[in-house]
Amino acid sequence: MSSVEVNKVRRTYGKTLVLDDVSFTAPQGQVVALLGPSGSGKSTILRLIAGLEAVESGDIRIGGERVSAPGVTQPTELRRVGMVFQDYSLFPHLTAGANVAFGLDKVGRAERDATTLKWLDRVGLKRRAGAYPHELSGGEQQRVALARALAPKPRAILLDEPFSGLDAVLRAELRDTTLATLAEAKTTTLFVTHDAEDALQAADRLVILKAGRVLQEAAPRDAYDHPASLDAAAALGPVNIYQGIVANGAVETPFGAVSATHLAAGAKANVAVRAETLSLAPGTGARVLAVRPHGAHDLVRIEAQGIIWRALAPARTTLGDSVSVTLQPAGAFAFAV
Amino acid sequence: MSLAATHTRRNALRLDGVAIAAAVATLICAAPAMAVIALALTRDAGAEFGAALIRDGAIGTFTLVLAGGAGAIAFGAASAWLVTLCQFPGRGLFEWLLVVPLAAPSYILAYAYAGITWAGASPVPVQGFWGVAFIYAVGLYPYVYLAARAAFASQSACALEAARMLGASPLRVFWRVALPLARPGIAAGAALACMEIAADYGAAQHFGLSTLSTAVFRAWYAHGAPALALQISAVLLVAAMLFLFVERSARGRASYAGGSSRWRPLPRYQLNALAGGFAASFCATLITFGALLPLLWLARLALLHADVQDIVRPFVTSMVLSGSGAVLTLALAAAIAVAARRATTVLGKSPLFAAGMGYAAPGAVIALGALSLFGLAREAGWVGGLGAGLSLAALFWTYAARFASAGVGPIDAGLSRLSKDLDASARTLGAGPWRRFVKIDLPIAAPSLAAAALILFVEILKELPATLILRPFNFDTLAVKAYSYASDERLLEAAAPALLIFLAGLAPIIILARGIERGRAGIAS
Amino acid sequence: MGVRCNCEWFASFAREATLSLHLSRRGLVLGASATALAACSPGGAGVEEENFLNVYTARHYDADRALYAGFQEATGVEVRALTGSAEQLLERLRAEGEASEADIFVSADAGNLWKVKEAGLFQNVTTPTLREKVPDHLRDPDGAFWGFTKRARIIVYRKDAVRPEEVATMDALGAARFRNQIVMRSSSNTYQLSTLAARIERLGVENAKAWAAAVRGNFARDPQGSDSDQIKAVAAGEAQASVCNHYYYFRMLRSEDAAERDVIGKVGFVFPDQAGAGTHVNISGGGVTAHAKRRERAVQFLEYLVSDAAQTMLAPLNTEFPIRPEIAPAPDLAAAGPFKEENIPLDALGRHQADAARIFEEVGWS
Repeated sequence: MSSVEVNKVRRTYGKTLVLDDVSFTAPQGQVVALLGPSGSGKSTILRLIAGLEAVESGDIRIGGERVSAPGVTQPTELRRVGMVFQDYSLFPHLTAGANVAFGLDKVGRAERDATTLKWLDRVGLKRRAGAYPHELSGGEQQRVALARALAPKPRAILLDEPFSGLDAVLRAELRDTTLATLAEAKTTTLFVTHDAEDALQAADRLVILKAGRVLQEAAPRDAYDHPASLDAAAALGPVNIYQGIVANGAVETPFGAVSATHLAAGAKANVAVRAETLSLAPGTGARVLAVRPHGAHDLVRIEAQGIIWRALAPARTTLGDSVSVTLQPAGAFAFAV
Repeated sequence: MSLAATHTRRNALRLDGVAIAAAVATLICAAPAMAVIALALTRDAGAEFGAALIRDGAIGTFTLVLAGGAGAIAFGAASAWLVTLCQFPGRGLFEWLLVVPLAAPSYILAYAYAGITWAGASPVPVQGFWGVAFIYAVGLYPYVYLAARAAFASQSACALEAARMLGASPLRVFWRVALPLARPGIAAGAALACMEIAADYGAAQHFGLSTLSTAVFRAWYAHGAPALALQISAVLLVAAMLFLFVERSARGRASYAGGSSRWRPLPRYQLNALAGGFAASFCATLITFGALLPLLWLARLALLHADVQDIVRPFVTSMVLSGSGAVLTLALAAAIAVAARRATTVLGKSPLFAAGMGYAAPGAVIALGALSLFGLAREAGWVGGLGAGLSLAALFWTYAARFASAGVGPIDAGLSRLSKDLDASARTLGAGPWRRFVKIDLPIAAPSLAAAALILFVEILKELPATLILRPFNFDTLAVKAYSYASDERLLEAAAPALLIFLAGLAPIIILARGIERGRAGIAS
Repeated sequence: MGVRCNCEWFASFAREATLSLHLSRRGLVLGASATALAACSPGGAGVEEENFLNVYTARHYDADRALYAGFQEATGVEVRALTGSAEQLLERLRAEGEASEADIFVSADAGNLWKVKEAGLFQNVTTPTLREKVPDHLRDPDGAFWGFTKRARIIVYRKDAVRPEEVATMDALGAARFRNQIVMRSSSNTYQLSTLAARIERLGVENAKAWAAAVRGNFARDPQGSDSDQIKAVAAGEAQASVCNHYYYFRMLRSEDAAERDVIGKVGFVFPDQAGAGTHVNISGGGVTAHAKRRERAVQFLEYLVSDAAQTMLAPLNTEFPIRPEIAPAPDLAAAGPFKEENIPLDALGRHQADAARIFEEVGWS
């Protein structure tokens, strides 16, 4: 268990800038989510921390020890950093048990066997120890990969899109199992995801990335309530964006005013309003264009003064053609343009 | 932390055991060919016909590679497609019978066909340029067949099904989807076949054609100019290296080879009676001309002069020599293939070309390179005379230099099924280069290694010129025996050992073919 | 022969391979595999140390094995042979230099033997026995190599198309009479080179070139195949005449394959130039290598090759002529009658070989 610090790291592939001055810290024992769309450079960060690639500038420290810096890369195999790959990368010629035991080659046989069984048990696969990867389901493979990464007691563990490629039900279940296992192991964890829900639910800390830059580093609640930018706000869920002018410490939208006391009067401002924080009630002010079921909510498209927004209303709310819209201040943010 | 500091290396100097082993292996495999090139550059050839010999030879080799290679590619790819993606009578049998011609060396096919044609027993007279091209095509198509079949079999059923759902006819699926997807595999097989053609001396010589290989021996034997022979060989070697490089580069761009890791049985086209009959007779014809007809001819001659006693010892020698030679060459080829796969730069992949060029040169030339290196070592006082031990060492060395390419190919294909993340996984679990090589690369590539070993075994079994020049006293292989009689124009006596080379090669070839059949059932085994 | 014998052989081989271990590090691998080979032998050992003679030979005849056996019987010395093409064996000998294990070099062509002499890899040997038994024109003047059998270059013709007197001379093959009616072996072949080299010695480069060009002009096809293939082509009607060693003609005559005997039924042969310089002959011969480790035994072997025992043994086993005129050849050879031999110094075949190769190249005789 050690903290992972990434300081001003830069990385290019050919002429493409993949990471530009990326800094963040994963405190010891915490679960940190790297959230961003594909191409944001989040997987590259994991590979740099694992030592599979070299940094061009900046450095990376694990437990205070500098493991990567320009021209210096501690070999992966000496870093004691566990990793679960997106496709799990189980060794196809080894059983689940042998996969988990692979990283335990430096301990005695008895201890190795015991540790292997302990970890398989923790992920609920003790009875599948003798099965080969192709005989396991996708979820089982993911759990074996997790047990394999954790068994050698790594200083930190890295998970690359750990829950993608699984169906929704399995995904939620697996996320809980994984979190419980990680919590038990008390290992510093970094995981990469493009799914805001995963990030918000699983992480102690969020690092929001876009196009190779860190948009925001914060606790999930803080990130949700106090996004640092329009993009950071958009990263955590669907938002409605409106461009207006600051007047009297607020920006007036067709659906209500948004506080902007930190902005100068008369300035242009971008307003982001989280779709789930718009309350709808029968009334007047906006027209309902469409209602689509969206799980526990309905996704409602509303229109006022020629502007169309999206709102998430509790499912089966009775809505007429016309509604009144309430904008909750906690879900609306104004940013300078 | 001080401990970490000691283990933290500069990026530029990351050399590990596997890389060093690969470097050594490359050096061993490339040395004789390099020696040939070096000698060609330093020695004064002094024969006035060099340019003409090289020109005529180059034209001959080029046209033969074109004609014979095209035939081998067409036969190999078509038959592979038929048995992998179509259903017709006898398909299961043809699937492995089609590999059988691999057991027959070109020089034996040439002798057999000359005899068959002379006796009027051949439906097509095999003579001249087209006769030799025909022999190459029917004898070497299995190289393409094996590679193409592996490629077709590993193709994602989804891509083929998608094409069918878009209304593509079987022929269109073949041309537009299956063939382009299999192209890298076909190219690898075709490269082997083409290099075999370039290296062949026996068939071309027998039918009086001028190629670079026959020019080598013309310069050496007729003009008494070994130096000129070396120069012509150097042309052949450099051309082979360029050829391999181009083939690799073309393959490098076609990185779609992998396909999905999810395997599903490919749905086969059910051919109607007419098409099925045509498919079956096409496969049967290939086997007949590539193996059955020459085999029967040799059997007839062997029966006329049956002397079993004479070939027991050469048989045992051949088996032991081919077995140990295959294992040694395999080890070197494996190191080269693994290192090349881990490499990302052209320089890193250069061992593939350096070690590969020996395959395109006649064995006698590579042996000459090895001999001259031995001569240098002897003059330097490092070694003594060519006693039995050193003789065998030089022989194994030459086998490695000559056939490394035939081993590297299948191993590389096997390793290509290994995702890079597997290697990364093992690294994050603390496994160093050697442990990854032994515990991950080797076991996963094991089926390919076995395939490579079998191919090497057959290659060495068929090998003649290097064995002839480098072997110890009283040490005759089947090929040497067959040559001794054939060079003395005693074809009756030569038939039995030739037949035995054929038959001894059959077992590994059939194992190989069946292995591929099983290998089709997915990556995990 | 049999399995037991193989094991003994592997055992002695393994021992030898292990002995040479110290020579190279690669030897370690060999040592290991050799030991593995040795494991297959139950108790094989006991071959007497150092009582052998090493021969590099470009002859591959079964009759030679009878000769080796005969020599071992007579002297107790085992002959260990390494067969191969003369040119390749020469390169090996060259590379091995003074470390070579070869004691004797044997080739079936005087031109090749001359090349070994030129490379300085023969030592001159002269003994009263050799001088007495080997005719002067069938040995090297300096004693570098000595013949022990001889073969004649004959003309074969199709009986139903050619009368023997039409092909009485080599010159006849270049006449307009045979336009598109001649097949020949490739000029890469050493016998072909030696035949032309002998002509150069007798008649000069110009004459030889004119003859080669004339014959080349009569070709029915590009040169291909072996000596036997030329005979077959003549019998099959592809051509009317060709040149080959008498040796192959008589072997087909004795063939176990009826089809080959049928071929001979259709062709006749003549010893050419009987009225002139005589028929071209070449030798199989051998010499003691420059760095022979067992010189005495090697000389003994050369003498054995021309001894009564060896010469009479060879005659029926082989279709070559004995080197000694007083020894009767095989009956079918004897029936062909005595013939006049071309009489030129044997080393001429080597001296003019380069010229011969050049001429063939110039006239397009590939």
